[in-house]
Amino acid sequence: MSGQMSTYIATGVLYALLYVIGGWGLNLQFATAGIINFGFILFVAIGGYVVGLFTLGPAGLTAGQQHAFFTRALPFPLPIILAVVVGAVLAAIIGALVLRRVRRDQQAIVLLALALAAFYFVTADPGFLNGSIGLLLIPQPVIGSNVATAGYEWAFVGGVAVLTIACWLVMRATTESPFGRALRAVRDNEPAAEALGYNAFSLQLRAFTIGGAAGALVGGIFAYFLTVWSPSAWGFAETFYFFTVVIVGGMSNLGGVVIGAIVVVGMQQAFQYLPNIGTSNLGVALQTICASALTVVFLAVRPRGILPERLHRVYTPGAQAAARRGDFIQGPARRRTAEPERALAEMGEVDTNAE
Amino acid sequence: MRNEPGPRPQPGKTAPSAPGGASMPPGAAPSPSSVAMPPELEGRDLVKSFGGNRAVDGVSIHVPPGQLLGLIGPNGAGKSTLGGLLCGSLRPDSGQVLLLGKRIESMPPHSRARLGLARTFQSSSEFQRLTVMENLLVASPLRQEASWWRSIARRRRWQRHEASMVARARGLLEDFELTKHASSFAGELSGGQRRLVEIARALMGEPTVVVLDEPMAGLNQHMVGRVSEHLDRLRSNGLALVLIEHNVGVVSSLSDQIVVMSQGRVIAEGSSDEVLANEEVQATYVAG
Repeated sequence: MSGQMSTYIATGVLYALLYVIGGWGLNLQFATAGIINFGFILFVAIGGYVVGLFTLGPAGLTAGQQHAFFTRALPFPLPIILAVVVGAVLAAIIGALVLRRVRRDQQAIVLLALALAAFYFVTADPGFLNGSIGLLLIPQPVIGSNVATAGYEWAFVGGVAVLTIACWLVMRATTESPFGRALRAVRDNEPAAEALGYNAFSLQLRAFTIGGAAGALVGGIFAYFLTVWSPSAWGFAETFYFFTVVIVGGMSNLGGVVIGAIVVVGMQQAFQYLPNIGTSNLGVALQTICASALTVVFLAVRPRGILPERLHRVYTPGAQAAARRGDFIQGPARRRTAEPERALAEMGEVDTNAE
Repeated sequence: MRNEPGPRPQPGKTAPSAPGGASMPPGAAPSPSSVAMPPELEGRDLVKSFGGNRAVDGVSIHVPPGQLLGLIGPNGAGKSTLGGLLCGSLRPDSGQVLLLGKRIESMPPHSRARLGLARTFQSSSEFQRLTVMENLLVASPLRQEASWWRSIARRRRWQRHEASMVARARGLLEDFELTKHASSFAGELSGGQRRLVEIARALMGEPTVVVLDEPMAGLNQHMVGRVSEHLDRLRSNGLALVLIEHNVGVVSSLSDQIVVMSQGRVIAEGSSDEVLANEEVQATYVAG
């Protein structure tokens, strides 16, 4: 395999992994908690800039003739950890303002407006984060430079794959738990969830914060890999790609997001190498056009995606022992203590189907 | 822990009140259970206006433990608005709401629910993309387990709790003949079944007071009977219940006390016989 092909494949795999992590973050906010976050890319941007600012340092800025309001060189992995923390904190602050004050159907517009405002502010002010050029020559992890070999690229991809597995474990524990169930209840019917004792704002804020942290993680890794982070990497179209991943793959389904990420990255790569026909930007334009078309078609024809939300598993080990003790029978159900066999027989029926 | 039920009042023991909604009419003997313990749920002089329209106009009610208060009235009488004021989905313009003697009118719905106040809604409010079993589990009294950190770090602990809650939920599902639907999405059930899921869900949280807004809507006669039996049993177990319902037959057979509302005001209250014999009630509701 030639070096160029190796780089091409490594890049494709890395992009897919990052779309998976970001897709899970957006999935938690959008498909599980019901927050339509059109500003998701803002948190990706924050992660990228935090990594850039805390990796370059004054020497790095000078070397690239760049300007930034602040910089400090910290060793890996502190910048990426900081990126996740800053992303989570800013998501909590923005979420606290938007989710409490703004009606649910208007939150999408407010979050989009915030992302657009941030985009144009960063682009317009070169002294803040080096304007439209962005932060350049960001040193990559471990090697401390931005001249990577093919072997390094694959090691990088391997590291991100491990991180993706860790994210999967966290997301699965998050969604397949009483917390995830409460989020889905708030999504389906907020007044009814409140009437059961759930603080819908608090639950959604936590989901928004976790999603923001996932977005920042993606941005930080992107910045490390690309060694450059500029507004062109986090335009509105990029938020749209994350939505396409979730909508096409399957809402509120972690496996569906993986499929969605493969579809989106495959499509991007296919169009990237189209021969120039007409304008020179045809390939890039087609990426966005096809992602848009795919999203519209899926929303119209298969709104729950390739892998729809599945029936969630209910944890039952121990229930049989509880039934034998009769300690689950309470109030009106007390009469069934005389019929434990029937209660036990029914347990098997439900568990078998619960997947 | 749920209160032990007080002695059931005998039908006809409470005299109908004067129009205007005084919670205890002058001269009327309070029921034995209301003497024994304070009302579980009480509304005092509640007022709620929408624009210039007074949907609830100085209404007072009280529900002692182990009693079922039926709330009836024609469409637009303000019954559901009163339910909203009691449960927190609406804030009163004036007046007080007390749960177990504690003022709660400024509390949001979730805080009231945590104090033991459960409700069902006038329109179906099941969680559509949760299974029927999950609809009940989400109402588990162990809702503190729904913290993100506990979900991640104390997995074994919540799984242990969940196991007992699953068993309890199965009991409720059996009671409402929903066992075979336990693994179906609630949104895929019929209207009547969804209503049953909602009632079972309200009971799952071990409440002390339940406000049921038209729980019999969409149910067949058999299930109306089952739900009625269930409500009767809950009352015997000491729960305080508010039943907002159009079905006068159900309300009169179940209620210890009936409050009749019209145009935002209480026009009569008392036992079913007394209320249904009231001329104003007949004029505004029964005949109308």
